[in-house]
Amino acid sequence: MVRDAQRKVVKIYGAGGLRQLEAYQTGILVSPQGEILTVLSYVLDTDDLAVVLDDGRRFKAQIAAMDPVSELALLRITAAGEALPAFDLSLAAEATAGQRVLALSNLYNIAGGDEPVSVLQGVVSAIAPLDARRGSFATGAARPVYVLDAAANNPGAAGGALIDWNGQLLGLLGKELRSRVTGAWLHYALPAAEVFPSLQRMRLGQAGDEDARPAAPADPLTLADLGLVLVPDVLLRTPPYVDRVIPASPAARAGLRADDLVVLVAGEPAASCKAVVETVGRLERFEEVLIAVLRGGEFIEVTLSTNGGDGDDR
Amino acid sequence: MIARLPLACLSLALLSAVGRGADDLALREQRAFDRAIAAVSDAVVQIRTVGGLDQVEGQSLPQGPTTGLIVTQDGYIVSSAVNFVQRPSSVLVRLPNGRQRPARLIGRDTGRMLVLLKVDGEDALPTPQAAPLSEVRVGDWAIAAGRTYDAERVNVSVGVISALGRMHGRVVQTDASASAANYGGPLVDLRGRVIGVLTPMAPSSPGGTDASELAGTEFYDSGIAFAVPLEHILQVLPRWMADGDLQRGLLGVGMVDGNPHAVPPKLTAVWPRSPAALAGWQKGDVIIAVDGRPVESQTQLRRQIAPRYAGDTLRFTLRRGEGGDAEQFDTETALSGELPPFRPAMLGVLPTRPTETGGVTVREVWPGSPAAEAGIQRGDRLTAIGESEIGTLDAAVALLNAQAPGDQIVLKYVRGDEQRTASAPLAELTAAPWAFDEPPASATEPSGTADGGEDLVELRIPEFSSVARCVDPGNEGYPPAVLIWLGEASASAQQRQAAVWREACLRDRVVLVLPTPTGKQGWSADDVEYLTRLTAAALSRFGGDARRVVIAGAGKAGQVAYLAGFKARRWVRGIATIDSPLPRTLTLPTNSPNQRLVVLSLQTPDQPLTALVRRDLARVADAGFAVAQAERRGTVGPAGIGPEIRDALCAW
Repeated sequence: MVRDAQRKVVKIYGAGGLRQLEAYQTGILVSPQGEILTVLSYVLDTDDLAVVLDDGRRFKAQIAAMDPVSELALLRITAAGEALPAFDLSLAAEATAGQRVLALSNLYNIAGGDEPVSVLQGVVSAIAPLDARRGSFATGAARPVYVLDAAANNPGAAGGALIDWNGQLLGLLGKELRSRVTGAWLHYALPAAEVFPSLQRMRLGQAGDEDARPAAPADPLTLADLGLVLVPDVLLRTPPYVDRVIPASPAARAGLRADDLVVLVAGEPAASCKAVVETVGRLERFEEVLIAVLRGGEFIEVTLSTNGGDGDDR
Repeated sequence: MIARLPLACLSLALLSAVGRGADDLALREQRAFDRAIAAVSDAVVQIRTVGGLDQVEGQSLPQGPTTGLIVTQDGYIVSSAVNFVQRPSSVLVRLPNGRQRPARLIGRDTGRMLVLLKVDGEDALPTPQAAPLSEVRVGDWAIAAGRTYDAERVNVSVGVISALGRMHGRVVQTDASASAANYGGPLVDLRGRVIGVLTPMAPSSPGGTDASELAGTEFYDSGIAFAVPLEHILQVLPRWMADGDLQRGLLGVGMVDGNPHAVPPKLTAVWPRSPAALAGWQKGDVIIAVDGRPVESQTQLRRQIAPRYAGDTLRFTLRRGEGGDAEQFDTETALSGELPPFRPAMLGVLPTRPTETGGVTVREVWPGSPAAEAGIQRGDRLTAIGESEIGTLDAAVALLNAQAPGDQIVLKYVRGDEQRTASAPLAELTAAPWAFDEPPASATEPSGTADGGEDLVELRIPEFSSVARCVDPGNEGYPPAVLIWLGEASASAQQRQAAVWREACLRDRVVLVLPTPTGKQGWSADDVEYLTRLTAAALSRFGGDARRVVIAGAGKAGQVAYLAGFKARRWVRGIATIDSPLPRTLTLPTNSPNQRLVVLSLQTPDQPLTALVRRDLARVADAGFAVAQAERRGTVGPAGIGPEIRDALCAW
């Protein structure tokens, strides 16, 4: 069963090879005609792109399509008349947290030539949105990924297959990233269900779905609208204490006071003044916002609305 | 042949059954993991902190939520100290029903890197069951749970138990992945019982002071993770709730150097006013058992003591004396949380050289010292301090090391044929009791050119290319003192220095070592390693007196002298500097009876740096070192310092 799956995973060789940038990664066959799905990376940035199958046969590959929004790419090889073993993404399974899984990839380029790719075991640690940064760039994916408890995301592994113990495809291994939440290197895979729409679009030659990112509100809500003035934002992460509340404002009506510490805004934790302003700014002016504060060791939740209605104290 | 067919069929059937069985096993294990996690997940809480530092020890801290474990129904929660290293101003806990509650930090367990929190207003929180340590076996499945990525679901990492009783008996080791994603969360067995609470830890050096709370976080991807047994936490919980902070227990002893796994715990020093001192332990005693369990090496002793807290009382069995005279005795001793910095006590006598047995003959008595008060005079021979007889100078120093300034001691001495007794309170070994006279200017002029060049001995250390030139006072007489002077680099400058010092060296028997800095810019911190090796080499090459080793320099060289002196504490007993503030990169160690250090600082008055030098010296004095200051008058060059001053530094 694992052997079957290994045959559907290919090794990709391309650009790189200097200064910690490996010139290899992994990909999966997604159609018997030789379509290969992999992650979009600098490795593909070459005219001399090669794909080596599980049995060692080497093909020159073409980039058929790219999806920069989801950072995926579709390659094509020509295996005259032959039906290659491939994963069918439409039949892929969904993983649950805690599920034992296998990661198939060519990490560290251990598998050379006609050797099958490496198999690692682990469990799905969590299913959560990717809140990661690579170096200093924040990647935009807000959709949930499979966070893995396995050494799955080492150099060269991106584009590999995540399968369950029955050999069913669960997802595609992602690129190396550092989590902003834990500060640690993240091992994760993109769920097949997230990857499939992108694959469809690439096959049809459509551009990536730019609308996937949430649009900025037309008339964003501000703290001034709510009548809240926070303390001056002088530190790297200034704790969001309320400096004063404008009389007869939604905040005043809801009973917020000076020296309250804002801890949650619309369910999201408020780590700093900047974060509060940002979170509030993603809402439209007419929307209600749930704010939670700490006052003298007490936890208080209120709903603020600019509509003139009173907020409720809970 | 026919008979083989059924056999083949049977084995084929068996094989496929095994194949299916393997799949079944995987499925059953999967279900077992799920059930174990479900059993404990309600007691795993998400913690958010607000405020505090952004960086600790130069590391930026991750911003996400962290994990904790509920341990009592009324709201006590345990988490890892690493989650609170930024000292936050507010703590918010998300309870299993989704409600958020503020939490108070009750205290820390610095011996096990944990913190205790309390949320108020709850009385029926879910608590986990603890797995008895006796039932935990190496190789058993272990699941690490945290609640960082998703407040609704725990995140999971699976591994096995790798070892028990790690870190001197304090933690269980697993290869499940522990990181900021689950520090503070539980390590669970297959039956859903909590084995321990995950926290990062790293091996610390023997005799090291408090470990950093961030130590061990670099292991997160290495297959090494630690958990403090919940069984232990529940046992110590009532005391933790009452005391607030739990501190590691300390004894206050120094032990012989060597491989701690092989060398027995033989005492070389006893901190004054420490638990060891109060119990009457002395230098030379050997600890042979703790609470009835024999300890044969220092590591075994650490294993008994490291898991204990300040305030715990243990029964120590010690052996004093050798061979047939050896006696064995027990003491019940309570460990303490802190040891005050060691301040050496001073009697005020300068012993004669060479050292001898049968007491210590007095060469000089400092005016105004306890010895002077007690009426001791030049020529007297001290035979006993307090209860114990003094055989040698070393024994006397050790006895004095165990006293603190202010203690009243009784001295017995012999003058002529009479035995006498006197007593006096000990003073603190501080500012210069010695007078410092500038020698007349004429004596400081360098005496011409290559005079004495042929008498310089060259000292080389393998692996280093620099050469040190030394003035050797010869082999007759008592062991010489060793003075390492960090001067100019050129060979001719060194020869000039040597010529100037030669007379003083020969008169007072001082080996003067003039090393050459490795860099072209003069002395720098890179030379510290070389100087350490050089000190040891000079001591052995010239048969120097281990009690009288001084490293000295002026200005920038003086800063390097501080660095090298503190680094090479095993050999160096004094640091002398001229107009040198402490280097900014130096972390000041505290004084210890084993490795006493004395500092002499000469300052030219009204220099821009003088105020800074004085402030730095105050810091050094606070760390327990004896500091002497003197002012230089006139503009005499560094050659004007006589070596007698050096020798005086190394007296008690």
